[in-house]
Order: sequence, then structure tokens, then C-alpha cells
Amino acid sequence: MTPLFPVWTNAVVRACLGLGIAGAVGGPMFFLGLARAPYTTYQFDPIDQPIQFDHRHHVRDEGISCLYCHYTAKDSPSAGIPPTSLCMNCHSQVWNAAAALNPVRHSYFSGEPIVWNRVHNLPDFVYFNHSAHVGRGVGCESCHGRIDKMGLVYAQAPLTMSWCIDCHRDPTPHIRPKDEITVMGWKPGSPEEQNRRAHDFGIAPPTHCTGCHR
Amino acid sequence: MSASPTTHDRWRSLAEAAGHVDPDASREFPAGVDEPPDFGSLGRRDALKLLGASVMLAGAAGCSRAPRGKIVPYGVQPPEVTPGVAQHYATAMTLDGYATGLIVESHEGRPTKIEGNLDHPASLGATGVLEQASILSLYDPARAQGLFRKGLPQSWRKLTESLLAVRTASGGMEGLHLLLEPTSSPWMGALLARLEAVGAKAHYHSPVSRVSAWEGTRLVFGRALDPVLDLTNAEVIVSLDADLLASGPFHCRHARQFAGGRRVRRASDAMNRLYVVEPMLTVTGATADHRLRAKARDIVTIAAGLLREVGGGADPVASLRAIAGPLKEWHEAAELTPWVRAVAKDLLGRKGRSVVVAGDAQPAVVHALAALLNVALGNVGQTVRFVVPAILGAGSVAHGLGPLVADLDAGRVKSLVILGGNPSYTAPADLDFGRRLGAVKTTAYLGAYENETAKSCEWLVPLAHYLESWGDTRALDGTTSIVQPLIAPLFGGRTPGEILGVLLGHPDASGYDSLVDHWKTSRADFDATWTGALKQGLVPGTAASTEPAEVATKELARLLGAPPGPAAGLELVVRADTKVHDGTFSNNAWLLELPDAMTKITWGNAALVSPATAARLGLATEDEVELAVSGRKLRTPVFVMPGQADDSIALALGYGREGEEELGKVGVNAYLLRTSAAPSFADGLALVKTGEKRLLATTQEHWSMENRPIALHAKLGQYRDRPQEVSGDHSPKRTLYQLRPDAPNQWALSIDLNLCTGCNVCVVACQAENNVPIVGEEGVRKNREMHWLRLDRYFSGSIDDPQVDVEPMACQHCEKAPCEYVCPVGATVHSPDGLNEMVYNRCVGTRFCSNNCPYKVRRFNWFDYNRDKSEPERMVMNPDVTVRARGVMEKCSYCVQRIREAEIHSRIEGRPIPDGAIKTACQQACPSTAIVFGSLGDPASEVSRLHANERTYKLLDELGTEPRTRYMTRLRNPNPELGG
Repeated sequence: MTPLFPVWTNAVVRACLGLGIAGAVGGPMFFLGLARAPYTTYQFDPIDQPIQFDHRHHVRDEGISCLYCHYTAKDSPSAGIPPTSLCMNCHSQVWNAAAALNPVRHSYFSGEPIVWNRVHNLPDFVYFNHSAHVGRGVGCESCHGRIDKMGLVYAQAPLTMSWCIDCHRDPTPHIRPKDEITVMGWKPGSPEEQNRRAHDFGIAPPTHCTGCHR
Repeated sequence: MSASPTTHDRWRSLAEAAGHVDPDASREFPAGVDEPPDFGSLGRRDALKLLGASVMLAGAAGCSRAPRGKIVPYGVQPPEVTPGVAQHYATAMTLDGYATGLIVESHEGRPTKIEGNLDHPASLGATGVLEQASILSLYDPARAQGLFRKGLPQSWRKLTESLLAVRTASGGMEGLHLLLEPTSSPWMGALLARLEAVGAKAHYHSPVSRVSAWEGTRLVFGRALDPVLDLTNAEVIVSLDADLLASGPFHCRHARQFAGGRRVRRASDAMNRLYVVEPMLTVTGATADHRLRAKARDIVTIAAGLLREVGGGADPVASLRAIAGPLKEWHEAAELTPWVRAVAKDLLGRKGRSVVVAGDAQPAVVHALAALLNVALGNVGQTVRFVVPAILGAGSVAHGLGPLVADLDAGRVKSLVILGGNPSYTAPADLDFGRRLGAVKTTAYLGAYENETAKSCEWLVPLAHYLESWGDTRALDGTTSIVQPLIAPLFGGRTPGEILGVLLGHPDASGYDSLVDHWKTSRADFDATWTGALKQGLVPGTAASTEPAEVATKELARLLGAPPGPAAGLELVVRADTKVHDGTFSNNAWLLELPDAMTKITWGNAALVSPATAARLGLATEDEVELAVSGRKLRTPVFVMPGQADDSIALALGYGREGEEELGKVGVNAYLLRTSAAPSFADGLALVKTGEKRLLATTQEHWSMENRPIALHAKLGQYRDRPQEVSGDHSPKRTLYQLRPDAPNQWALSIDLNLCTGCNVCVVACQAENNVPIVGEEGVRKNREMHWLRLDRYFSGSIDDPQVDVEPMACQHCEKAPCEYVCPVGATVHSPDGLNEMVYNRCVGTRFCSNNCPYKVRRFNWFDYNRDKSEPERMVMNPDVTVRARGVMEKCSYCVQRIREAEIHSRIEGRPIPDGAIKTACQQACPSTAIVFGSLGDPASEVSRLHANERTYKLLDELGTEPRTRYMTRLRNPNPELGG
């Protein structure tokens, strides 16, 4: 008896089945991956700014503390972008005629704010609080990376929820002495030292939903 | 015992009382709730096409990267601002001339939430419904947004020229008339005095005025005085048609002090007793231990009866002996029912520890009788004192439209400047005020909206909201507050003081400069006190001193007139609404959607008719009737309301608007029936059924509890005899689960039903704090209302004169929450500190949780209620709470944003959160301190002690849900002589 379908159709069926399974598994995986990929999260993507502000120069060369400009980081949920008047604390004296600083002077004298491009963008339903981290021994570098080596600032972290939760579940290696919050290139101490510090600080970050979502 | 569930023991509507079981009661929502809005002719094929297109577009949209945001810092950052940290400023809101001190939360210059000022005598940290909701009016896009002359934009210079045209060469201002809302502002007083010195004339008009109270005290004491109550030590309180716990100046203070006398923690604690006589059910009436239904016109005879029994009669007490003569005729006419005798006896047993209060809607004679009763009972100086009214011109003819109308008719008004209010709408109908305005050469109106008055005036100047204004204002007891703005005027608004400045020849002076000038000249210690007064929200030492209360007999002889004759037929009672007030708030969606405390009507008003009267006239709820009083007619829907006095038809003012306030068009305009002769109630009402039906949106029967014992109540005697039994079965339930997760703080809430009056302020406070959306009239009809916290109102007893119990109901935060077990996506989960968390971003909208919730407290976003908000409307949103989108469930979170903020501060500072440091929004606003929030982890915390109290019970304990919110059984303290 001749088969109803030629023999080679078996291969087609197997191939279709295989492709179907691959698609069913791979399709969602692709999108899940895409959502976490640097392309989507803008991780490692240097963002152009209206002013050529160079963190390398200010942080590394001049040794200005992060908290001089981002001074609300220790008291407020928001670390804050400094107001133009703060730039002018120095730049009324230093480089006060430089063409690169024209937009700063224009902003200061006209009162028009400088519109910066956002580098770290959390969704609105995430209530991240800088003061809760800075005030508890988490250094700037832990999330923002080596800002002192960035010309144009980029996001070092993907800012995905799994990235947040990883640290909230095991914060100990990231807890610094409170006077070393802004130090770039800080290395954690021995596991015993880190454990002791985390214990002394009473570190118990929330891992339940309303810790961050309200 | 009353806690036992018997059939129809408790009912919420007449249908329920009659045993009608809603076929939808067992369902989560009634049929039709998930029907989409009518899209016109959208057929099946079109719907499929749209579906396909939206799937494709959604796919396409998913391919793009998330947009990058911008960051805009300050150019020069104000030193007091820390971006991301809310600031709080003290200011005051003035209502009907009297101030309530407030603390307003502001986020980077954007006010978002109103709280009470703990130091202010009218607030004591609490707020009323109107104060809470006033912030929404600030951002109302319907507000007047520019200067108009006859509907066309015009310049400020032209306005000032026009206003000053009345000034003569010698500087005289004869012919200039000013019409203001009652005001207590000392600054305005000084400006007005300067204008009056050159011939201008000021008039004051408000439909909610205290004219009759001032007249009453004038007749008794010889001059207009304001009674200031102190209920702290009042053991017996008699209210003669006064809603003293929920409306009027100082109502927050009254409620706080009243609650102090009802905070029964153990069987030996004392409890005060409240008697209320009133025509329509109010919050105060529902709280009363004894409530007597009476037509508004009959309250005077009850007051006279009380006075006769208390000792002004045949054998008057010493203080009234001198006026026994004039009182005699009244005493003979007085009605001496057993009720009156029993109340009088109770009052006499508590001399100096009782108080009688008359309502503002009652005529002067009732206020006079109340004052005499307080004198006779020795209460003056104990529970009530009298002060000179803070309102400018109180007790003079300037209050009321009579003199102004006379001047208008005589052609003496060359220029009329109306500062606030809405007289064309609120003036008595017989004055036809709007038409009379047309005859004046120059009319200017400083108004918040392009409303009825704006339409009949030449000029419209936008009125600044109080959160945009500099000013000063005084509370009932005279305490002065500086009103400071939280934001620059959004729509170019001006304050009444600034317009007075224009008339005084300073068109460009700012209100701030003028105010500071006034305070500098009137106070030598200005420099030392100004900043402190702004910070504290009041000027220390400004409370009025107590005036001696000597009964002036010669006035009394004239005062009482002839007692009213026997009542015949129907009576019409018109009252300022508890929500939109006199119409000032009739474009405020929070208030319109707020179910009335007693009727549960939203988005409108209705003629309230007692069940007996309705049966006699053949009326049913939603029947349309035509009301007619002295030739004036109005068509209105009927609402059959248990507790309403028979033959008394009540209608709330403030609805049926005709201006540009789009939302305020709901309901009917009761002002059309209100005349200057009968401002609050009128005899001779004719009622004709038209045969039409008019739908009402009421939440009365929503969220049925299917007659389970929910709101428990007991008599004080029962509680004292058997304290353990008033709160039902407390026996622990067996469980396989560990109940307490191990976090140091275990959050819980206690609601004392004995303190709760049902005033509704918690509902609005929750709405403001948690960005709770508005669903509209149609949405309410379909059961879609979103309030996280609702007030259930239960009746029990007779249909005509029921007992009322009110119970605030929100998520109970069950330790073993039924909602959590059924969520397929883990969108509602439990936190280690005992919160039932709702994660909006996980929610896919199956609504299983809501279906499984025995308390019916979960709310579903059927539509994207926030999408179409205009720019100013978005500004009211609390930035600390997610704005929810369509298709997600939401519910009470115990104000988790406040908990987490306090936790973060405590962790940074390395100290535990002190008990009482976290207040939920409902708790903070509550005038009667019925709500207590705290941690069960601390056995000494207030909430731990309350949860251990014998009056505490868990709702539906038999389900074993172990709710964290627990209630305390309501107690009543009835008079044994009245069947208590």
C-alpha cells in the first residue's frame, strides 16, 4: 500500500514541530531578554547633555564630593540635579568667560533652567529613595559605577527589578562605613568585617512589594 | 442583646426593611457593571477591526524603546526647598466668614493635601469635608480664567478706571456699594472702614449666615454675641436642629470634645448623652442617644417647653424671675410632651454640666430660648461662653440684602462691586436679584466661576482661591490667622482685599503689601510676631474675651412675639448641603461623588420625604414631584428617607447650577423656592406628583453585607452589666498557619464606632491622599464607585424613626486574607509587617480577589479614569502614590506611603518609630479621633490596648480571616425615662 503522504513529509512535520516548539519557547524568551537587554534599559549608553559637563574632571581631577552638587541625596528620595546657582558658586570665579559655559550663565541670569537629559530612568511606580541608601552605608558607586571615569555619564546598572532585589536580598558586600559613601573604587572588607558592619547598621532591606511600590 | 443577627434587624433601605432581597446581592457587582459605555453604532465587525488594529499597534508600540525623560532643576533653588521632600505651610480656610486653621502639604510648590492645624482652636488637627475637598477646587479648570467685560477680555487698567469712575473730585465715593460674603478679616475691616468713611456702603450676604443667632443673643443680652461651646464637661447636650458635630464653625472642635465624653474604655467610664430635635436626619441626629423628629417650625415650641420645665415658668429660677411675665404666654403655648419633660429633668440634674444649642437655620427666638435655657441651667461660663462675633458688622442691618435692594430700587447705587459669593444664585427668590443688577450703571463681580452672578454683571474678575491668597481671618472664638498662599494664582485671580485696594486708589499694590501695612500699623510687635504667626498658623493672644451674659429684660418683652399657631399641611425645609455647601463647591467632583452621610445620594439632591408622608401622598423614591410655595414652583425627584419628620419635605441647596460649572448642573435648584421671609423653612407647601421618574445615583444598597451582624451596638447599661458580651464571640479560632509574621512592627487599625459620627471627612481625606478617581454619576449608578473607604449606614428599628449606625469600611488587612489565596498572578500579597499589599503592576484584572473578599472593599478600575485629566487637574495628585490605570484592582493600603516614609526616617536616624508617629489620612482628618493606627508589635501602643479592649470585635470573625482592622461596639446612653 502506498502511503497517503510521501516519506519526506515526515521530515517536514518534525521540522515544523521543532520550529513550533522553538518559537513557543524562544519567542517569549526573546522578548524577556529584550526587556532586559542594554538596548531597552539604556545600560552603558552615554547620554548627550546640553552642556559638556565632565564628571571625570570634577570628581577625579578636582576631588569634589558627589554630595557637594547632589546634596539632597542624603535627605531626600531624589539625589537632585544641582540648580544653576550651585554651578555658579565656582564658575563665577573659575572659567567665568568660557564659551562652553555660556548656557550655564544664560540660565543663571535669565532664570531659565537647564534641561538635562535623564540617564537613570525608573518607572513612576517605583519609589526609590536615595536617602534610605546613602544614609545607610550604600555608596554612590554601588549603583552608579565609576562616575569618576565617565566623560558622558551612562547607566552602569540595568535598573531592572531583579538587579534591585539581588542587592536587597544580600546587601552585606555593599555596606560601607558612612564616611566613605562617596569614595570611588572602594573595596569591601573581609566577609567578617562586612557582616559585622551590616549587623551594626541593622541592615534589613525590604524585599516585599510595598517597600518600593506604593 | 442587640448583637444577635435577626432577620431584617438591620436594613439600609426601605426595600431591605420590607424584606426585599436583592437578587444581585450574592454577586460581586450588579448586572451591567462591566458594560462598556455606549459607543453609538459600533457593530461586531467594527469592534473586531478595532481589536485587530489595536493588537497591531500595541505590537508596533512595543518595538520602540522607552522614551528618555528630561530633568529640569531649578535655576536658583529656593533655600527652603529640597526636591523630593514635601513642605508644610500653615494657612486658614474661611467658610461663611469663620476660619479653620490648616496645614497644607506642598510638593515643589504644588499644594496636594490639606490637614488640620493642631494648634488652631477650630481644627485641633482635624478638618471638615469641605476643607479636605477645597484643594480640588484650586485646580478646577472651569474656574474663571481672565478679566472679562461683558464676556470679552479686557485689561486691568480699564477695570480700575471703570471702578474709580464713581469717585468725585473731592474723593467721595457716594453711590459705591459693596456686596461681600460675611468676613472676619481685620485687614478687610480696616479697608472697608476707609471706604465707608468716604461714603461707600458695605453689605454682606450669605445664604448660610448666623443672622438669626446674633438676633437671638441680641434679644436676650442686648447685643449680638456668638456662643462658643465647650463640650468637654457637658454631660447632657441638647441640640435644637443644630448639626453641631458636622457643620458650621468649630464643628471639628465640637466633635473632638464630644468624643472626649464618649471614650468609654472600661465599664466604669462615664459617657455623655446627646438629645437632638430636628426635621431631617443629620450626622448629629444619627449620633444622638435620643432623636426626636419634629417639623422645623415646631422646634420653637419644644424649646419653650424645655424652658418652662427647666424653670422659667410658674416658679422661675432666680436668673429668669425678672422676665417671667413676657415668657408666660409662651409657657402656656409650650408643648409638654413626655419627651420634653424627661429631657428637662435630665438637664436639671446636670446644671452647669449641660448645654443647649440652637441651629443657625432656626429663627432668632429659638436662639434666644436656647440662651435663656443655658442661663437658667447655669451653663454660661461652664459649657458655653459668649464672645463678640468675629464677623464684621455682625448684628447690624448690613447683613442681608434688604437695604441693598432698597437702595437699588431707589436708584442710589451707581456702582456695585460684588466680592465673592454668588448672589444672583443664592439670593432669596423673591428679590429677583439678578434682574435688579441690570439696572446698575457699573457692576463688577469678583468671582471664582463664570456663574449666574457673572452673567448679570458687567465685569468679571477671577477670584483667587484661598491657597493663592494673602489675607487674614478669624475663627469663631476670635483667634486670628494669617492666610498665606501656597501657590501663585493659577488663573490670574485677585483677592477681595486687592479689589478694595483698587477702590482706595492703589490699583497696582499687591495684597501682600497692603496686608503687611495693615498689620504693621495695628500691632506694635509686628516684627517679633509676624513670622511666628505665619509658621504657627495663628496670632497668639487674639482669642476674644468672654463677654458678661446679663439677661436684658426690656428687650425680652418684645422678643418672643406671639407663639406660632398650630401647623397645617406640608412644610418645606431648605438647608445648605453637607457637601456642596451653598453652591460654593458645586463644581467639586470629590464632593459631588461623595455619598451624602445619611441619604447616600451622590451627584445631586432630592426632596426628602418621610415614609409615612410618602405613603399618604402615594410617593416613591425617584418619583418626580412639583413643589410649590407661595407661587414658586420647582420639579424635583423624591427620596423616601427614614428619620425624616412627617409632613416636612427637605431639599438641599447648592445644586441645579446654570453657570459655566459643568458638574454643578446636577440636581435641582432649591433657591427657587427660598424667600427672604422664609429663608430656611416655609409652611404651606403644595406637592403634586407629575408622573415622571427621575433617576438618582445612590450608593445606599451597594456592597450588601447580606444582613450579617456588622455594625454592633449596645446600650451603656448592657455594657456595664456584661462588658464581655457586647462584642460577640471572641474565642480564638484554630489555625494551621502561623499568624504573625516576624517583623518588629505589625500594623493595625482600630475604629471606635462609639466615637464615629459618620461625618464623611475620612472618605474625602482618603480620596485626596490616595489619588482615588472619580467615576461620575453614571458610574455610581453602575456600582463602579472607587472610594477605598466608604461609610456604611445601617438603620434598625422602626421605618419612620429608625436608629442609625454608621461604620467606616475599608480593607481589613486580614492576616489570612481570602483575596491573597485566589490571585493567579501574586498581585495581592502579604508583607512581613502585616499589610495586605496590592501590586498594581502585577494585576491583570481577573477580579478573583474582589469576588473572594467577604468585606467587599476592593475596587476595580473599569476605565482609565485619569487619562483625560487636563494639566491643572493632574496637579492635585499625590506624587507618593501610584496613579492607577484601567483594569487593575485597588483598595485601602493603610496609607503605606506614610508608613514607608516613617520607616526610612527611623532607619536613617537609628531609632524606632514612636507610637502615634504614623497617622493614616483618615485618622489624621477625623475630628472625633475614632480611628487609631499603630503597631501591635508594641504591647503598650494605643492600638494594642484598644485591640485588647472588651468592646473590640472583628468583622465576620467566624470566617477566621483575622482582620487587622477591628471595631469597637457602639454604645448608646439612653435616658431610662424615655424607655432606655
